[in-house]
Amino acid sequence: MSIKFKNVSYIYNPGSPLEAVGLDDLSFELEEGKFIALVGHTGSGKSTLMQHFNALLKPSSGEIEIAGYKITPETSNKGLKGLRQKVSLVFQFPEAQLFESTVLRDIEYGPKNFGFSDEEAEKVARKWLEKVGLKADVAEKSPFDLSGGQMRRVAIAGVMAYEPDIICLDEPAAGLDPQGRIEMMELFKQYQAEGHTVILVTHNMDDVADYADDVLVMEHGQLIKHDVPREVFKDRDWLFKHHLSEPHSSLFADKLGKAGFVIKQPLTINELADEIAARLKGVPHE
Amino acid sequence: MSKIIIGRYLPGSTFVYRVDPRAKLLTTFYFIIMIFLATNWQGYLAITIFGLAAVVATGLKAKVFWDGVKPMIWLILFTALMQTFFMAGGTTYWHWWIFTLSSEGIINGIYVFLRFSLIILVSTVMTVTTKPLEIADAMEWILKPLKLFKVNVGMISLVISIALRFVPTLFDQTVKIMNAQRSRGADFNDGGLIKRAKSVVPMLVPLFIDSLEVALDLSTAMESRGYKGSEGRTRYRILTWSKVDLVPLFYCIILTILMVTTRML
Amino acid sequence: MSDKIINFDHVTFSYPDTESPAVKDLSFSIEKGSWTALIGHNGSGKSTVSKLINGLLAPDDLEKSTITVDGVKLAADTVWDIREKVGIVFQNPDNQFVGATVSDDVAFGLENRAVPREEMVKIVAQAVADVGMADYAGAEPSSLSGGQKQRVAIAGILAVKPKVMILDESTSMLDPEGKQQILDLVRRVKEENDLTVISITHDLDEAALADQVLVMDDGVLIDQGIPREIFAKVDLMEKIGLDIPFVYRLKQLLSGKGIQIPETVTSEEELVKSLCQLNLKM
Repeated sequence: MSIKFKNVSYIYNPGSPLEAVGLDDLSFELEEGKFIALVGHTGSGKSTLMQHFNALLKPSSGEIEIAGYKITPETSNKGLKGLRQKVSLVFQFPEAQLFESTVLRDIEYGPKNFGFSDEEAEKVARKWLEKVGLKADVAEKSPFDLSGGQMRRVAIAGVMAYEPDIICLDEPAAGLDPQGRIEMMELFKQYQAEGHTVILVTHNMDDVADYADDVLVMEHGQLIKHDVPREVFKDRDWLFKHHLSEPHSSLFADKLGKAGFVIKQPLTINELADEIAARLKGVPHE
Repeated sequence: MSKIIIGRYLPGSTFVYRVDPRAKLLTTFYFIIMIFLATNWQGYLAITIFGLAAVVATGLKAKVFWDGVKPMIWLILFTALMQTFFMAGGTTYWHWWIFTLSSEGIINGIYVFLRFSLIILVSTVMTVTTKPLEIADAMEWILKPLKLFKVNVGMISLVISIALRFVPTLFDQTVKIMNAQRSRGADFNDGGLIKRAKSVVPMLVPLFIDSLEVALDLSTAMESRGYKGSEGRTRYRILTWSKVDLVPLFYCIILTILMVTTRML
Repeated sequence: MSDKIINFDHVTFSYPDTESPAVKDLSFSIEKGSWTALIGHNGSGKSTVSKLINGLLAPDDLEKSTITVDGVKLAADTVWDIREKVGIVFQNPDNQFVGATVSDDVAFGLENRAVPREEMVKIVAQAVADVGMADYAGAEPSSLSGGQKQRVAIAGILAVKPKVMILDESTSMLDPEGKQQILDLVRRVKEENDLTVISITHDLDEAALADQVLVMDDGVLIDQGIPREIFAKVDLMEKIGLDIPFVYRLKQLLSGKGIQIPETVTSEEELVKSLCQLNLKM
């Protein structure tokens, strides 16, 4: 199965003086089960696109196929629950959505909405509490007594607990300390490896290089590139023109090249180290 | 992306936009008083022309004003019809039980309709061409005499201005939280009254906590920037009269003369 | 003492209803005109320090703890004098924007200081232009990006001409472009206005701009030094939850492959040079 967008456009406030184009004729196809990165500047249409994945916004024109559902401008607001169980979103700073009296109950909220029994809901809540790296003893605490980083984990557990087939996360690691962000990214990578689709909205090109299989680049509501990371990061002039940054390793390789030590463009720091080592040790390579 | 209209302000560039908000506010009030001076068709004709002139001067599409009148249209029509059918006088065309259709009734119905519509139209002129903040400034100016009664007008105006400033921020936050809970399977429009009331909790609690956080952060920031209360502060934002404010002044004068003359006909 | 603009002497502070102090017996000093980065993981007490500097919080015992800012000792009656000298750019761009428009917000501090309006108009226009927001002087906050709002916050501080500017995680909610713009701006206005800058941060790029780095853990100052010295302590960096700089990570990986880079190499430029030399020897 795949996620298909066919000529999808979205207009904000149609017919009013504040009318604005959110999405401009988007067509693409994403393979399920992949780790997909969605990049672009603030205001490029990333979050508008994200909200189309589970029909929080419906296209003004065009058609979306996702998780066995078809979304068109005419799609009714009723009966979207099934879709939202399969495709779920984690917004930026998701700790703002916590509301329950205990951590456990907050994580159970989603599963219960989607028809899990009380026992099932508690079971998955405890499981995911642990998976996001929290100790079992926070389960009965108020989420508002936790640190910012812990609250973030609770919020993410609250979405992952009903194990959506497709999860789309907007900058889930923003503001976390480096250790925390690595743990989070590994969690999502593992989730994908277990057969789910992960869509990551991010500004961090190192994360794109390290984790993504496929990249969507947005600008002014349009999809300006859809390719694998290696291809996206290949064209330096194009990146520069669109004010997109490069992975750190790629930048460093460029500095090396300018100093006369030319190596093949690496994506990740491991590739960079491999390339340098290969050259210095005189190991022949293609 | 998430621009919302606070109040009903619409950006524009005609001279109406440049008129001092105090002048606009006072003219609006004055116009409404003038409406009640109209007693005959000449009076209503004059005030209608003046009302429409203000509408045209905004340079905005007619739809904007229709949107202002639309929500009230049934109330206006109902009131106008009541006038029409309950008032007798002049030639009677039709009569049944307590209902009468007479020439005076018809005329009065039309007058009531005009009165209502004009009030809404001129208020719309004011609200679509004046930012809420400017309206607040104008209100503060009008309330100034209250200082004599030890009312802290400076603080009230700071509170209003901060409240207006945070409306879009909190609105964005509300939408975000609703979307987040919808993603978690919340349904805000489903089920009976109790179920619906309950479904609001996951939205209200985070919103409340967020507002509290905003308030705490804001008070820390204000204190750190030297805010010690509204005493002894100077003001950056002031309203200044300009030549363009002569327009509403003459508008009011000519309107007054016309209204007074038509009454004498 | 004249070149020290901020001095903390045995400062202890506890939040109400907590068992252990958030800041314990903290002593340090900051040189006038310098840039200091204060780093540490969340809850290490680093943000508390910024609030202590301008008297938003007061030490537990003003007798035993002494805080001096630009020669003025913090006490109940000097708090407002100290706030004249210290401006803070807070973390959340939205929650510190008081005014209805950019100019109004920049004027807020001046209004509080009862600056006459004619002067205020000039200062505000200048400050707004200084941070590159002249085209947005009348804009409302809802139409600005996070980075633009932080620039306005900086303008608001410049307008009142303080001696010290504290960046309290001011870039942590911004996208990379916004962050870079803020750091470039702070670097420029620091020179132009002869400011002392203290940045409280998680961010390596931001900490790397500093002349000195103070490392806090659990309310205690555990280390202090120039950035490259501190960054070289890989274990310490991990402990305080900071990223290991790219250069050190690459050096680690290379050493795992049998390529040894001298200890003295601590910047990307040096690493490039060192690798090129190795390459030529081949």
